[in-house]
Amino acid sequence: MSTDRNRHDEIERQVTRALQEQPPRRAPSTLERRVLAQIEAGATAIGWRRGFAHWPVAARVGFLAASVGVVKVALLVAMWLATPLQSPAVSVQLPSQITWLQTLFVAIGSAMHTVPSLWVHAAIAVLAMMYVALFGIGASAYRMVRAAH
Amino acid sequence: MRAYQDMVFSTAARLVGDDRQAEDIAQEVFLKAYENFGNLSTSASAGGWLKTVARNLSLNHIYRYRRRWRMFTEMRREDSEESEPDVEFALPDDVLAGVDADVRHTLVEEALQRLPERQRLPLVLYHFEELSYEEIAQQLDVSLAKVKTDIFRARAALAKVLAERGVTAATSLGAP
Repeated sequence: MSTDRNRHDEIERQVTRALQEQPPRRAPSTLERRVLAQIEAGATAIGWRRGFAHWPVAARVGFLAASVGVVKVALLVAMWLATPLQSPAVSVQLPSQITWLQTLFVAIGSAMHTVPSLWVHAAIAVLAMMYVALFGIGASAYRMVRAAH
Repeated sequence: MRAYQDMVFSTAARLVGDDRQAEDIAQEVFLKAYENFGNLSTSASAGGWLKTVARNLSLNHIYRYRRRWRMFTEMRREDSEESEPDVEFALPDDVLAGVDADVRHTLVEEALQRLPERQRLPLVLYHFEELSYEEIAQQLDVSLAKVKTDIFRARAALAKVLAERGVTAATSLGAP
């Protein structure tokens, strides 16, 4: 038992010494070139390719304003399509290939008008809560799986 | 960068056990350093920061891309039931006595690379990264006993390889 202990200690001593004497390994000569090339490529990359956080403030504000504008236009178009009775000439101008789209919007619009607004708001709130709950469950599951590994 | 590139590359190479992947990791480390240049350029602990990032990126790389630790986890129970490793080999007073320093360094690096990952990782973290057993257990998400056993086995395996290769190298160099 004592002999084994001595042998284990001797192995530990020799391996520790061998590893302590090891100098750092020499990095490949290509490493510095690769890093500098990447930095240069990053510096010359077109602004929008470097992510939203790297955009100039004016571009970020403009992008957000444009996004809000697009959403507003989309909502206006949806409302416009859903109320064809107030503008009958419009339905005539639409191409025949997308008349089904108008029919769909009209059906949705009609259904929405029959539903009390309180219900609509309640449904939106429930959907939002379900989305948040799903996000929370997903994040918790990810943490549990990650912790298990 | 030149002052630290060998240290960063060594850390990555010894942990991942592959020079090509280690170079990719080292590149990522220096790009992160470049992003934080404002803080690092005036910091006295830039070397420590680089070493820590290199270690974390290497471990992330192993977890994310190789998934070998999944196999290791599956083997954990089997391993823990194993008896102590065979240490019955001829152990000279110095496993690399009479071997030229450059050859000695090469032999040690090669022997390290030959160790199975489950042994090399804790050994490198202990001897080169100077982490405690507890910190290694936390980093690798394994038990403290497992860390001690793996380091013990790694030392024995390394000593055996070095003893065998050292004798061969010393003989070929004409040492007594």
